[in-house]
Amino acid sequence: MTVSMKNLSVTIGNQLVQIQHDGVSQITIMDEPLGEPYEHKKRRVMNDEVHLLQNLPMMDFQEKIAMLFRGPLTYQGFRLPVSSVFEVEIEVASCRRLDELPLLSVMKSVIDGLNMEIVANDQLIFASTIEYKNLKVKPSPTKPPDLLSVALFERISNKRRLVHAVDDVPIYVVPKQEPLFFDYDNDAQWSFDVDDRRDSIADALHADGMRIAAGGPIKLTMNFEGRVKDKDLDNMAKVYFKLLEKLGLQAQDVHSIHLTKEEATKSCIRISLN
Amino acid sequence: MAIQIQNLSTLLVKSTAGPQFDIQPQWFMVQRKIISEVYPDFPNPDIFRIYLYLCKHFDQKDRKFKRSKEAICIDLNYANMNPGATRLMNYPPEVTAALTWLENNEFIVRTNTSKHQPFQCEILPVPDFLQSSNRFIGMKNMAYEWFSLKNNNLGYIMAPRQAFDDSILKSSPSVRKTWTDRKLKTLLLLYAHTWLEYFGGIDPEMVSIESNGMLRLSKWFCCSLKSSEKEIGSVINWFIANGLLKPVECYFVKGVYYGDTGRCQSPAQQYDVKIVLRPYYLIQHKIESKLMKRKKGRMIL
Repeated sequence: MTVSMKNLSVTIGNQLVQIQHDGVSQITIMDEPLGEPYEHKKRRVMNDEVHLLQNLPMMDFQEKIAMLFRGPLTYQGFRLPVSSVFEVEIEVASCRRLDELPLLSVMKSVIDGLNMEIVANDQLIFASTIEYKNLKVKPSPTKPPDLLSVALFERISNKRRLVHAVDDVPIYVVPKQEPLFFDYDNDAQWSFDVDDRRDSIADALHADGMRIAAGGPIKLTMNFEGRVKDKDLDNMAKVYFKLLEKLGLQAQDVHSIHLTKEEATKSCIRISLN
Repeated sequence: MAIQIQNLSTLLVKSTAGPQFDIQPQWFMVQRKIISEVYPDFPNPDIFRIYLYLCKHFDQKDRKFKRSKEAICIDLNYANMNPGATRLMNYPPEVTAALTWLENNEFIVRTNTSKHQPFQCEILPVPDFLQSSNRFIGMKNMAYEWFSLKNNNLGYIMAPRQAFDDSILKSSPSVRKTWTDRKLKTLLLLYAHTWLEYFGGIDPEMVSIESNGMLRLSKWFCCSLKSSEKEIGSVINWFIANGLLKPVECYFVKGVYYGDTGRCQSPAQQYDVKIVLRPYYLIQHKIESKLMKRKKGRMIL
């Protein structure tokens, strides 16, 4: 099926950003990929530290992911953390529905589990995928509802080598959660240029007829090109996922996500929904 | 499956009459890692209780377990000193076996320089567990100190020493029957989620009571304890019935504890009312913390 691509340009500040889209499932934005600022930075209160409590089930989930890799790798004599260019593949098989397991947040939580402990820095992850499979059979009431598989690869020139993989581990998967902030009196958030830029692009696409229909399963692919070496894949994905949600995407329709980043002189974000 | 708390209205903490909670200066640290669906339980009840005893009596300053092997045997009821004797003649084999197991699997390291010296040990960060070969892998180059655990994203529980008194760790059949592994583990995990300044007690997302008296439990929480909701529900019910957890009605603003309904006016902001469980034994320095300054006066203690 050939779909005609529409061209569009948006003025953001004093910059003209070119966008191509097909109105339903393909978007290419000729712009430097944006990254989400960290949550605690959004609330930095002047002259005072921000008190917050991280979600403990999420922290424990991340600690479990680290252990599942650190145990066998230490046993094999690896010195951790390792520095290289990495790819991560995740599969979640669960009797829970996707509204309980938003895939991008699950991916984030798995990657944060590997970060620092296993891979020296999550900016070294250049590709990451996550797939969801629905389990029809419910496990017994004392067993975890999810089976998680995670494979970590090292990229060497054009090839990739498996560092370690864990397969079908019965575990209770906990997606990334925002921390709880102590100061309810001060919930003002800094506004960020990222949000304005993302909204300008979303508004322009919307005005030009771009709509994402509800219903799945959707395979979402996002490629980020530009000066992205030092940017987290999942932080960039978060920005454009929000953009897609503004155009009608429902998180629970997304059954798989494929992310890649590539250092390049020309910047561009390519998004496709299949 | 849902569990109903009987006589909730009489159990709810009220601001009348003297102190309602026991505030203790001494606390100890246990890693959350040992309570998990991907970590095996200790192979027998002796090892688990002796490990808790070692954690309880581990001196953070000198990084040493300060008691003797004899004290373990006597305090936990494995042996009695004969009348007139100055020391134990024999160590019960369960105690020796438990300490050997903990040492072989790198939960502890012996610090006495020779075998003939009295038992001394240091607690190590809990080892990783390797499922594929069913073995423990020690954590290298790390000390069992809160800041190094924190820097390595290893979570720990702060529990008041009194809540895990030696009397509930004893080896006698009647104590073991009451204080099962599941009860001890549940109580530890409840303390992991006790954040007075944020929740006024245990995180209501983990466990709370609805206004009609129904107990609400997190599936994640039960899963970490390798138990069903029904099993954990009845343990929590037992803790409430025995006064180890007390239901308190609290005001919450934006998910954060504001004060007890029986102790303060309702907040000016939009609020929720939740019934949280507050452990009977509380840690003093948690109540005296900087964050508690504004809230302490609104809390029944």
